[in-house]
Amino acid sequence: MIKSISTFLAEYLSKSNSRLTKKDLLKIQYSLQVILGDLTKSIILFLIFLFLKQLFLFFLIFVILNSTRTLMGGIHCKTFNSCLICSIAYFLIIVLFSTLCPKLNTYFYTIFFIISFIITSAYAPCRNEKRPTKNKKILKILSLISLTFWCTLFFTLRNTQICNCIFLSLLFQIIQLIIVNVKGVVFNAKITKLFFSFTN
Amino acid sequence: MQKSLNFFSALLINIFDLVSNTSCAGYLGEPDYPEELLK
Repeated sequence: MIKSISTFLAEYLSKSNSRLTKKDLLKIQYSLQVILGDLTKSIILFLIFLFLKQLFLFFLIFVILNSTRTLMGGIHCKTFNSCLICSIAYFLIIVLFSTLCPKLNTYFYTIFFIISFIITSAYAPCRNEKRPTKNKKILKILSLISLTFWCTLFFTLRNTQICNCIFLSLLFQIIQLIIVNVKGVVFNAKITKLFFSFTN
Repeated sequence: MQKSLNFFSALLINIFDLVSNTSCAGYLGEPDYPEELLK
């Protein structure tokens, strides 16, 4: 549905502007798919959280997600529908646990943030299976800046719900970084094993 | 009308460049990257 709307709009733009090359049209089509896809998901999530009367947490998770995931990367779903279901589950789990969980020991959070910094500096940005990742060095620095910002906010704020929300969003992000990299290591190990089976 | 369409096309191409420089487009999924642009 989104792909057909994007193709239709891209074709309309190509008819109105003859200077656009084939590459430009593919770029326009891709951008439209990203915008329309994310807009649809955002509207559905907004309506769910409006119904649940948790709009503030929705916006907070949305900001954390967009400030960390766009820089660090993460796990991708293969289809739009599976992405939508995973995104709804992701938002709902964070809201549920941030409301129910008590604030834990400060030492626990300190250790968590130290580990997060180590993992981010080692693995971020993780590889994207669908396209090459450019400017890895800049993305790594920005990821660390983003993590520092959320870490500072976490230790500054006193509200348990907001703190839990920041903690869980970052925890999910770090878990994704580990999964993507471990998956890569396993994948590479299989290649290495296959390669050495043909050699002495 | 023509001017606004040209502006919109240029804006979408710039958005593409911006998205290409990120690690992930947004939520937990993103559309398939055009193979012709990988070459």
